[in-house]
Amino acid sequence: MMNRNNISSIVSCALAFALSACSGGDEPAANAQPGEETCTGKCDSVEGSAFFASLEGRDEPVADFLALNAGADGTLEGDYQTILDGVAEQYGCDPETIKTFVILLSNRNHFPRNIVTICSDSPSRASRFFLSTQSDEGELGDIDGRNVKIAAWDSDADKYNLYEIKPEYEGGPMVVSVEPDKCVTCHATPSTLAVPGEVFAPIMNELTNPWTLWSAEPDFRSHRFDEFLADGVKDAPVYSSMTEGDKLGSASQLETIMRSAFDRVAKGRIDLRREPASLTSSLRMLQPLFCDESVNYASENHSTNQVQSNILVDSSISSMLLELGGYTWEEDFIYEDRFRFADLSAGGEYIEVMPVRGDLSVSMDKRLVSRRVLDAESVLRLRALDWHKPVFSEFRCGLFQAAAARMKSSPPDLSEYETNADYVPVLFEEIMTLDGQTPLLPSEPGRLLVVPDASAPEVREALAAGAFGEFERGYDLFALDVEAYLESFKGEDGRQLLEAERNRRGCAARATFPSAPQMPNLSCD
Amino acid sequence: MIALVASCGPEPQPTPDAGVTPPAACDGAKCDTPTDSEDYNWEDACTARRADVLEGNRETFTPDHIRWACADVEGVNARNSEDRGQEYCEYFAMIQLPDIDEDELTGPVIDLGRITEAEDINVATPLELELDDDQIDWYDDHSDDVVGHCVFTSWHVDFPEMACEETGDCPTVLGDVTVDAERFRMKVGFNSNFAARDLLKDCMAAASQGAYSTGLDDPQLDDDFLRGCKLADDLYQTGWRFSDSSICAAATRLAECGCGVEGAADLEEAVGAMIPSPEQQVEAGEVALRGFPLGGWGAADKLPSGCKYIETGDDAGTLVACEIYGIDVVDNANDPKEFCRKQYGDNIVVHVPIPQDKVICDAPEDGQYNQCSAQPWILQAQ
Repeated sequence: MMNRNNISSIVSCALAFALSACSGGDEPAANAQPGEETCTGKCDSVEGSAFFASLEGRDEPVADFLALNAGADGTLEGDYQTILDGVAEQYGCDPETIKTFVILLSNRNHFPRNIVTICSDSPSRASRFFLSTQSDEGELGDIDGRNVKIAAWDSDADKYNLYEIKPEYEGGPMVVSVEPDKCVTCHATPSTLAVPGEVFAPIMNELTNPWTLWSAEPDFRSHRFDEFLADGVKDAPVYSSMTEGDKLGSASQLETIMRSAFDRVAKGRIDLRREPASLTSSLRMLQPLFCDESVNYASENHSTNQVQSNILVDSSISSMLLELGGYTWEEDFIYEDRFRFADLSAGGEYIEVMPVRGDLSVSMDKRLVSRRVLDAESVLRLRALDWHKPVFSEFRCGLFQAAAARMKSSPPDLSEYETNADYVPVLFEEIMTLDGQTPLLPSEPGRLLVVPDASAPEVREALAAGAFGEFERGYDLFALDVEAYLESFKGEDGRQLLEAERNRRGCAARATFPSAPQMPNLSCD
Repeated sequence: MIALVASCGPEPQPTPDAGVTPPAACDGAKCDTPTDSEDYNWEDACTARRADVLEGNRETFTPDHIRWACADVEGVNARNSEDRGQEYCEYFAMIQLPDIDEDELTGPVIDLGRITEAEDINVATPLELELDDDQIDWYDDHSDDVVGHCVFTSWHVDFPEMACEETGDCPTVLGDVTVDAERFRMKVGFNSNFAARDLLKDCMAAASQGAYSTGLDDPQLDDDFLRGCKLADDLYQTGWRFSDSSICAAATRLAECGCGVEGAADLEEAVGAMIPSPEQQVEAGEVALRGFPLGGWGAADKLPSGCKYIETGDDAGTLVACEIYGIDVVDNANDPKEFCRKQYGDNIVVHVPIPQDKVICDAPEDGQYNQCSAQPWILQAQ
C-alpha cells in the first residue's frame, strides 16, 4: 500500500523513471510504485505530456493511479476492474470493500447504471470515490466495463475531480479525459439561478427508502427494480461480474455514503463563513435556502402507505421549531419524518417519485443555524413563506433572484463586515423584502408571516399592499396550522389532494434538472 | 411481572445523574409513546405495524429469526421525556471533545441521550451537546474524522456483567472508554430477557388456549399478524411496538399450529429453549444470549456501512458502534441521539434466534385459523 502523496511528486517520479528506464514492453505496469518501471510503451512522449500536466496538483489517489498507470497520451489498458483494483490499492482499501450499487435509468429504457465505491465499510471513506458505468443506451445488452466516469474527492481543492475513461474507437485502449465538460450538465447547480452553486455534486435522486428503481438487495426488497431489470442484462457477463456474491450493495448503504458525499460538497459552502466578506460568497451561502439547487424524489414504501413527510411539509420547519422550542411541542409532525396515508382500499394509486426539496438544500438551513450564521427564527420566517410549496416556490426564489440582481447592479459596501458570517444575516434581511422596499417582517419578534400559498391572487395582492397583518401568527399557531394541514391528507382522498402539486413539482423538475427521473402519470398540460 | 408498558407517572422524577429532566410528566394526553395518545386503539396501531412488517421492504420473519430495527416506531420520541429505545435495543451517542490548544481529539467523551436510570420516567444524560465557536470550527476542520460513535446495545438489562469486568481487562472504545455494564447494558426494565420470555410464554399460552376461538366476528382477526398483535396489545398494550407485535404474532402461530420444541416437556421449557434465561446460561457456563444479537437486514452478522461490533468477550453481538464524523457533531448538536436513530437505526437489526431444527409442529387437522405452513412463524402478507 502506498501512502497518499501529492500528485506532483508522483508525476515527477513517473516522468523521471519513464525517461530513464524505457526498456519495458507494452504491458501496463499496473499498480507500479514510484521508483519502478512505469513505461507503457509510450515513453517517448512522456516529457511534456499534456495529460500528465493535467493531473498536476490533484490531491487524490485516482490522479496518482493514472500517473502511474496511464500512458503519456492518457491511454489506459484494461477495464473497470483494472481501475478499481489499482485505485483501491492507492486508497488503501480492502478489495472486499468494493461494492456495486445499481440504478435503473427510467429515461434509458431502465438500463442499469452501476455505481461502484471502495472502502464501502465506512461512509466517509467511501464517499471519496465513485465510479459509474455509462453504457446507458443498452446497445450491448450488458454494461460496458470500459466506459466509465469517476469522481474523486480532492481534499486540497475541496471538490470532486472528474474523469471520463472510455475507448476512442471500438477495440482501442481506454482514453482518460480529465474534467470532461459533459458531467456538469447534470451535476452542476442549474445555470438559471443567480449565482453559481456547485460545479459538481453527486446525485442520488431517490435518496430515501424505498429507493425507487435502485437495487435495495440484499438488505431490503427493491422497489420497481426487479420488474424492470431485463433478464438478458441480469445474466450478462459484466453486469453479473460486478454484482455477484457480496459485491452487490444495497441502496440503503449507498444512501449513507451519498449523504457523506453531500456533506463534503456542502462543507465547502459552509466554510465560506470564515472567509472575508464578499457578495458572491454570501449569496452562494444563502441561495439554497431560497431556490432549489437540487431536488430529491420520494415514493411511498411499497404497500405500507408510508412516505417521507417532506413530500408535504419542508422538514426544516420541524427542525427550526425544535431549535426554538425543544422537545415541548405537542404537534406530532415535529417529531416524525414519515407520514402515513389512508389505506388504498378506496382506490387510487400510491404516490411515486414525487419531487421534494433537495437534501443538500435542506441541510444548508440547518448548517447555517448550527454554525450561528443565522438564527432559527430567521430560517423559520423564510420557511413559513409559501410553505404549501416546500420545493419550487417561485415566491421564495423570486425574492432571492430579485435581490441578487439588485445587488449585482449596485454592489453594497461590505467594508464594515469582516467575514461572510458577519454579512450573511444582513444580506438575508435584504433578500427578505418585497421589491427591495418592504421588509417581510412581522410586527414583533416571536411571530411569523405565515403564507401558505403565495401564488394565490388575493395573497399576492395583500402582500403587495403591505397588508401583512392577516398573515401573522405565533410559532404555536403555525405549528397547529401545519399539523392540521398534514391531518387533511390522512383521509381517503389524501393522495388525490396531492395530484396537482405533484404535477406542478414534477413538471418544474423536468424543466430544470436534466437528471430528473421519469415520474409516472405526470401531467404537464 | 415487571411493567412492560412505559408508564408516564404523574410526577416528574428526580434526576440524580443530572441531564434530561422532564419538564412535565406527560401533560394531558401528550406523552411520547403511542399508548399515551388519547385516541390510541389496537386496530390503528396493529394495522400500521402489519403494514410495516408485511407490506414493506424488510423481512421480519425468516427461518432463523424474528427481526426488527432498533429505530423506534413513529410516536416514540423525546417529547417531555426520553422514551426512545423501546425495541429491546437502546441507543445513544458518544462524542469526544477536542483539545483545541493541542489540536487533538483527546478531550473527555460525552454520552448523549444514554438512559442512566429507568423508573416511571427515564433519566438520561443530556440530549444536547453544547459547543462553543472554537469547538464548532474544530469539528468542521475535521469534518470527516471519526469523533464519536452511535452506540446500539441489546445487552439485556437482567444479564450479568462481562467476565472481563472482574479481571479489569475489558476492551475500550474512543480512546479509553472502558466497555462495561454500567455504560453499555440496557437500562429500561422491559428491555430484558425476562420480559421477552414472558411475552413469548404469555402469547403462546393465550393462543393455545384459544384466545380468539370464540366471537371471531371481526374479520380483521382472520389475519395472522393482526391476531397476534392484538394479543400483545390485550396482554401488555404494546401492539404498537415492532418487537412485541412481531414476537407475539409468531408465538401465536406457533401455538395455533401445535408447535413445541424438541425435548421440552412444557411451555416453560420450550420458552427456555428459544430464549435461555440468564440463570440457564450461567449454569451452562456459556453466554448464549447476552441479548438479542444485532446485525443487518442482509445478514445477521453483517452490519451496515460505518458500524462495527464492540467486543464483549463472547460472540453475543449485542454491542455496535457506528461512526459519527466531525461534521455530524456540528450539524446535530441539538440531539445527536436522533441523528443516530435516523442515520443508522433503521439498518441495525435485532435478531431473535429461532431454533428451527428443534421446532416441531403438529397442526390440528381442522385448525380454526389459516393453514399452517412447515414454518408457521414465518408470517406473510395474506
